[in-house]
Amino acid sequence: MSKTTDKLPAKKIFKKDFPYHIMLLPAVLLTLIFNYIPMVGIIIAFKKYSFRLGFFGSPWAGLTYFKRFFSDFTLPTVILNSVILGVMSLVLGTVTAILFALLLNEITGLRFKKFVQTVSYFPHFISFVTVVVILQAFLTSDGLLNQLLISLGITEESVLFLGEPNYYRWIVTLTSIWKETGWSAIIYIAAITGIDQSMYEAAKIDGASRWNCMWYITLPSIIPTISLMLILSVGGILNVGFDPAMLLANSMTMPKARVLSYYVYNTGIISGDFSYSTALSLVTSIFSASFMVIGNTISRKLTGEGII
Amino acid sequence: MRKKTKKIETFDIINTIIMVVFSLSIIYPFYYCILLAFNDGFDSMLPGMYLWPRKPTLANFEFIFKSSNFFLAFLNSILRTVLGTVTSIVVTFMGAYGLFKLIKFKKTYSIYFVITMYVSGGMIPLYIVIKNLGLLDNFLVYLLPSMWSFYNALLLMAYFRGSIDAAIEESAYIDGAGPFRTMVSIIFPVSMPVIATIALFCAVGQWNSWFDTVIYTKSDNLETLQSMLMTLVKEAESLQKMISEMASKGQNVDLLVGQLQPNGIRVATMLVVIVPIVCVYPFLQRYFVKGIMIGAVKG
Repeated sequence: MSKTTDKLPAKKIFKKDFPYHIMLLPAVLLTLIFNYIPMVGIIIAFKKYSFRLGFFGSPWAGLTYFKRFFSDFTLPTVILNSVILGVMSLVLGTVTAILFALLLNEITGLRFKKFVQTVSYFPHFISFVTVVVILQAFLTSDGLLNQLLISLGITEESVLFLGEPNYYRWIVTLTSIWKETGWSAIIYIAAITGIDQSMYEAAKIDGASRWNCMWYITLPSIIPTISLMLILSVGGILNVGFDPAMLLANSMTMPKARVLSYYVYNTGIISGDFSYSTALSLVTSIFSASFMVIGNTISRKLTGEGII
Repeated sequence: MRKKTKKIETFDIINTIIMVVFSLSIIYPFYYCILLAFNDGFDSMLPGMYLWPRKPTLANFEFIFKSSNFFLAFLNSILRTVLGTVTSIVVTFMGAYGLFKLIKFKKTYSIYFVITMYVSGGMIPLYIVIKNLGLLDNFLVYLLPSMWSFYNALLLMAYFRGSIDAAIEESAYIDGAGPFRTMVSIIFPVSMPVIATIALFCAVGQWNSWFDTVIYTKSDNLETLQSMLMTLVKEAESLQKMISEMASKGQNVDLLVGQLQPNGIRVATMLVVIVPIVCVYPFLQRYFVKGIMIGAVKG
């Protein structure tokens, strides 16, 4: 096939290709408008942006906005919040997903297995707004949890779970575990399905218990998948917590809820400081990319697996 | 030997218990929300209702369905879901087929698209572009930015590679069908399984999306169910905040607690919002494991 096309003169190829170029035109234009022009727009991080003058007309400002990071007193807490929340959800989320996949694999009843799996995926498909409604039903001052605590005599007055800064990170992490465990486990379940069954038979003959099999055969066999998923998610650590900051946080929990992506949104869209927030988001994505590269290098060194 | 069998049984029992608890932790919150939605708002604030509605009522739903906001939001949600899915399928399918068939410049196009998977301008430059295009407060903002999905195009192309027989296309050409005709009447029907998958995910994404409403629209005319729900959530939050502030000052909060009546309304709206998801869930579930596998192989 390729041999015959190689022989075609350029003009004929173009004529043959022409309809396909037309088919690609909308995609090319949309990508240009919504992906490439915004990429060019990053230059406003180095400019004093004004709407009237646009991306190119605005005067250069050099590194003014990057220098401002050092005098921004909110920024250290924002970074700290992002990192803590990101690491919490990455570590706990991954551990729960792996545990869930391992335990699900040990279920012998096929119907029960299918049921648990079906149930576990569902929360992935609902929006975070919906999740917050559920959280409010349980955690507000007259929510179910407070009703239980009071009627059991554990507390006398209702606890404002959603207004307590110290609970915020745990509520967010547990919520994301509740929402995503089943979904993130799919990839591990798939990896487990691919394990060579003869290893289990050999282990059984040697008298290994099921717990032993799980710990010494299943888990080591899916390490490549685990490290792959970790590398992929390490880059996203700084993006964790946006939805909760938008929807779940209130003025009391905001000091703990304000993460980088939310801070970018707030300084940019709400306060209109476009150049500064673009500078911030540029640096954030550079850090995210380097996290991924570092994660990849570490994983290469430790397990010999990497994606780059 | 006897000891070993017993050990296996304990493992099974513990495992089953863990899985049952896990499943319940997902099912019960939804169930409890159903209870709240069908129960009298004031009655729900008293403890003791865990399994059955105590004062059954349809008042919450009546209130929602009577409000004019709801119908507009519902209409917008439906519109953006249907139009967004259809336009995205058209653009993505056409692009994927064009890219699949190209003889020259295939690589150039691919690089052009792949770059966007790794580099993005970020929230603010995109906002400025959308603002300059006059898309703020414009229904098109729900459709245009997500119309082309290179990831979905990759799924389609993987499918083309595996299931399109060159002979079918050739016979269409011989019968006088041009490339567009072939695409519409031969390739499109053949690709139906993967198109259905993409359409489902597109639709769920459109239905669930709320941030674009927050960031790109101000007028109430473009409100969707998700953004309406968000407003209700925010109201509840500020009420909670007032209660806690008054409580910390030792003031009587009973009056404000009384205003929490919309609890039931919020939850009822939430249920209305997830009903469509529940309806398509069986289909989603059948397809997505396959979809993820293709993605995993590619990644």
